[in-house]
Amino acid sequence: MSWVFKIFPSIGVARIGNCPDDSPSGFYVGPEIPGSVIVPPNGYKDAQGRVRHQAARFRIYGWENGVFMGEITSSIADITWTVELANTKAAFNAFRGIGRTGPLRNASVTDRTSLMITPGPRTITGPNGVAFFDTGHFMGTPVPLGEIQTDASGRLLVLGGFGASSSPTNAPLVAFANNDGWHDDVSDGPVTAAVTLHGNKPVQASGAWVICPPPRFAPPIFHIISLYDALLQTAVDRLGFKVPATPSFTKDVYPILKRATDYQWVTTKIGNKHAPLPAVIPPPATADQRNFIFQALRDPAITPSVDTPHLMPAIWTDSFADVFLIRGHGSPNTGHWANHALTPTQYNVMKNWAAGNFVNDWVGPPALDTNITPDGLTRAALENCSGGPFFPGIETSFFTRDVYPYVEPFRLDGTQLSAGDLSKQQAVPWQADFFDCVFQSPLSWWPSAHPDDVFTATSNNYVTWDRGINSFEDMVNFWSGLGFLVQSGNVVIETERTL
Amino acid sequence: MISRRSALYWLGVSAGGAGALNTFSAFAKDMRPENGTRVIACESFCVTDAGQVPHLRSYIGDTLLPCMGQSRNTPSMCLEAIVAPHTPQTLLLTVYSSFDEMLKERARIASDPRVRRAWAGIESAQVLDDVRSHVLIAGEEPVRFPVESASVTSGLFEVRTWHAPAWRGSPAPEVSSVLNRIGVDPIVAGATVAGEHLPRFTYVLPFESLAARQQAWARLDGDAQWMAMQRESIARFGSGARTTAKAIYKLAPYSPLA
Repeated sequence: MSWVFKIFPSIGVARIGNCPDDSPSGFYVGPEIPGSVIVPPNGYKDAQGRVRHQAARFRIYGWENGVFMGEITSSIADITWTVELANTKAAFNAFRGIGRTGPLRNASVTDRTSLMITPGPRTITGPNGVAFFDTGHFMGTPVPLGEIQTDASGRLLVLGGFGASSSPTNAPLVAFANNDGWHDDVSDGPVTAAVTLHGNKPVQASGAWVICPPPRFAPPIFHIISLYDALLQTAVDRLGFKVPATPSFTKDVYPILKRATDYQWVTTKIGNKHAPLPAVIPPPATADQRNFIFQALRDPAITPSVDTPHLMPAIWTDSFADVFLIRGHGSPNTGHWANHALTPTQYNVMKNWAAGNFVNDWVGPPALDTNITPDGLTRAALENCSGGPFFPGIETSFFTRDVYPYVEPFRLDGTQLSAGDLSKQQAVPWQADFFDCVFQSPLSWWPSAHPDDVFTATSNNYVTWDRGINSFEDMVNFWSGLGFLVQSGNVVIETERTL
Repeated sequence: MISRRSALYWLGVSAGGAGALNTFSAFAKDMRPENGTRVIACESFCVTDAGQVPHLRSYIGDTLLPCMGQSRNTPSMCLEAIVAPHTPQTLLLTVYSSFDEMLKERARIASDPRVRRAWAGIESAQVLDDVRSHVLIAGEEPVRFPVESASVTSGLFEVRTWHAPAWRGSPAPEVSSVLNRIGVDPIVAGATVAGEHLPRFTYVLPFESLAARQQAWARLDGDAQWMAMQRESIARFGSGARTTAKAIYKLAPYSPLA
């Protein structure tokens, strides 16, 4: 009799918040069912306008002799969770773009460990436990990174940092990605568990990873290229993962069309570039309509920095450094741009659809699953993160897609990684990139994390989402005052703005 | 969300559901042993989340079981899942002496105003994701629901399904002897009468503890008769008995006992 245990989601997402309440009503758990949108019953912010943490909940599933058994909880096993969080941004290389290795950040600091916020691992055994990552320092200044809890069933909850970024040396903020002397409190690290079925020996579960990025302020709007899509491509390219040869309209084509169409709620930069998309729902539409859309999609085989007239999706390439070096922010006045392509798998879905090679299974927008499943947990976590453009990215970067090893689809090889590796390429502090990511017209970056333009409950005209934030420093100090977007009938509007 | 079809089927008021049961009846006539067919209805109530479990407990314990026990002493047992593909989940096992009796009983229960009212409450509160039903034809071994004891109330029940081409229409008698030898005494053994992957056999197996369960199955892997049965099955049918599903339960606090 042999059991195999695995932790799901294989990559979990615990978003930071400055609300200090870590009781169950003080935070909310992130999406656990694909396509679901979590609207906390008591709001995304507390009564003082502080952003609640979005916790990542991890569960263990068991297989006995290859037969799926289900979730393993404390009713049948003793579970010991160990999590390590770290923030090593300030000790890593400066971000210069994909394919470029920048010099070390804080190069003049010889004690490199003083730049690494590494409180070390924390362990909880059994239900209703708690442990804090409160012993890390940056240049001698304490920087708490959050905490872990276990619930009554022995599941793990991870709560990330508090959005507190500062410079102990009072260094100025000078750039979107690299600011020496600064730290933030995003983090990431491995999640492991030892599972002891009652009366048996402990077995180590297949490990997971948690990333603790900034909030996603437009929860109803999904990224056109999510981290799930990006890492699915990684699985296809590096692990030989097979996707269905014939795409389903409902499962494969519709989400791409829907997400691209929904960008209308978070940015004016797409202009009318995505306007033809709603006309092809419901399927099949005409061959001409489908081909028109497909021909507007950038081919992922084209060198990412090359300008093309294929303007869907209307988001920047993650090779923006090359674009910038070629022409700065200037417009080529040709109507051609270096936008980000869909993943090859997504592109192939659209190619098949355009050719009429798809399953027309449309009976309306797909209903949400009702069951929480292992794979669904991973998909729900990752589809809420950006899978590009990675310049360097907001939740994680191209290292996670292009470099780091996986033991199976979506499951990193934790033996070859260290806590902090998934966030170390990111901007320091994250607020600098968050402030800067609206200035590069005419394309957008990741507007479902940081909306560019939104509607309010009282206005039918777009307003700038981060109005009132006029500098890197403003974003550091006032990020939690920005509004969250919610679905309100057929529209998406800003709410809970406290600036 | 529970599908209406499942709910109606459970209540016995669905024409489709009744049709399916009639099919089962016809099937059962062919395999009815001389002492009559015992039919075991297996109803899995899949609850939306842990917070809804008290509602289901109240429905089954306070309304459904008293109604079921009104006209006769229908042997029933309720198990709550500890490890199963869907949790929370409650499995209600009910033994009938025939399909006819099952249909009559279901019709009676479905028309009971208290049950209907309570069921409407379950539906409106969205207590259930799904209700999964299947019917077993019991083998020749007796159905032995346990009597109350410390080991029963603190122990575990495994519901294990084998796809076993060599066992034909009913649980193979020699399987029971193998199970007894490894220390497992099934309380239910039955053949699924319709669906995929037939022939399929479901056993409800009590264990004192998880450790005892582990030890028992380890003994099965080394049992000479079991290995011989597997070899013979592979030789004749291309595959041996294969576990297709299993889940672990504990006795529900309100469950009747024999």
